[in-house]
Amino acid sequence: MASSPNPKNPRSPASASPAARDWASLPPDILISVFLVLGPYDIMRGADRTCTAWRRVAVDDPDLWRRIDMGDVLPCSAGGRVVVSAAMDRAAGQCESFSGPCDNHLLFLLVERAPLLKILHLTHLYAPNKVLTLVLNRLPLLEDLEISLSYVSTPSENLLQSICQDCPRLKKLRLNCSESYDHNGSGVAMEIIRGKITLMRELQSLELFHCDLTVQGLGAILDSCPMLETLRITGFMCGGGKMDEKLRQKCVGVKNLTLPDKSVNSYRRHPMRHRMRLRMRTVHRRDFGPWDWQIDG
Amino acid sequence: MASAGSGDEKAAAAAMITLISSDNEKFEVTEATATLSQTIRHMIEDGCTDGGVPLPNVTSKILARVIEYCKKHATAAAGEEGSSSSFSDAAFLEVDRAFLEELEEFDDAFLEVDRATLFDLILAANYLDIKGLLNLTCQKVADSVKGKTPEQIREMYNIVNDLTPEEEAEIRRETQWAFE
Repeated sequence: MASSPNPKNPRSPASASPAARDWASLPPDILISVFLVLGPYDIMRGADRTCTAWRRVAVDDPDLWRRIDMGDVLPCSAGGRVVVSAAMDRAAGQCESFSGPCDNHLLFLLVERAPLLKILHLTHLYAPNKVLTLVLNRLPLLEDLEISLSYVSTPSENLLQSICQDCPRLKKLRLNCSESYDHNGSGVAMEIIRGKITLMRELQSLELFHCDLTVQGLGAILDSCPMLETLRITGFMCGGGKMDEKLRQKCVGVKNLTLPDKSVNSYRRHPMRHRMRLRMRTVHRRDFGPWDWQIDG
Repeated sequence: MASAGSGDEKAAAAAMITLISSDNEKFEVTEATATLSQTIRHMIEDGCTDGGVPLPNVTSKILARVIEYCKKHATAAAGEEGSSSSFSDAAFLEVDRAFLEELEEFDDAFLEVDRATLFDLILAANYLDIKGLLNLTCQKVADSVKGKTPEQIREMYNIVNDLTPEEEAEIRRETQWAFE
């Protein structure tokens, strides 16, 4: 029994008595289905240290590691970084999809060990945007990018523009600023888009959550994304500009369109939020655009 | 359904399939129920179901449970199809939600089995290629293993620790301090 010729199936299922089943002998396909549900952290914490048969499936099959979903496991936790690193070893450079919270170290690890990434969902980004730029332009196959900024990664100016510049082949992009805060604990919205955006020939879906949008910004998006089918922007309309007929026509081409329904003006009626907003602008925006007269209540 | 005449009944009767368990018990099921299994679907398409479908890997006890699952899910699928044309959108959504809830309750109750039965159901779902049942049972195993240490898993599933010294060393190297 100890020295079985087939490491994936050391025990024959026929040897199991009717009462007790030999779980170590589960076919590898089934174990992979179980492990895919379980996720990297729980595989490495328990399942793959249980017996040889389970370990061989978990370690030797790179298919299991093409899509790595870390759930809520933080990259800076005791197990987090070790698990991602081991998962990358097992994927043998074939990892195509990563999802989970991410910090500086993990971003660099991903670039080095998963150069074929197509899908990257950073469910909480604990890293400055500078690092993000360094990393993104080294992932040429990226098609689907999702970033939720956390309290340490406040959206800098031109976040959308720099991402588009770094990843012109994206098909899907989602930026979520709803959980991002400045050092005063005030909510920070994504910066106003100024100037042009790199041509995104393949972008079909763009979602910006908690974003300050101007009519000019909307125009820049529509001009640079000819294939857009879904455009969802939540947040605030700023600047008070009006959509002209040309822009309206461009909007019609987008199948699923959601735009902010609140304008910055509404803050006047909420003194507390107004103050928060004002502080945010003074902290984060060095050069003010023509929209700022609006909040000088 | 209500308008089914004798012609439809005949068609339905013709579409019955006999499944034969490893202990030679025969089960009559509708084609709609049987074809949740891709394995049986292919046999039907190839026209080799006359005289019954022998399933030498599945006992009557497990086959009865598998059929129970397929019946429920085949009915739900048919119900959804039928309702889409005869209800307004709101009513359809309501019916849809009720279906899903009922199905979920059924699945939960269905999984209230001992580990030996769960093991047999997994192998049967795999052999018969019933995707929904395989996902459901694999999820059950994954849920039971989640958050457990290797020792707890071994105890739960009666697994002998047969890791080689090389594998033990590999584990220490890879993740030794990560989970302490």
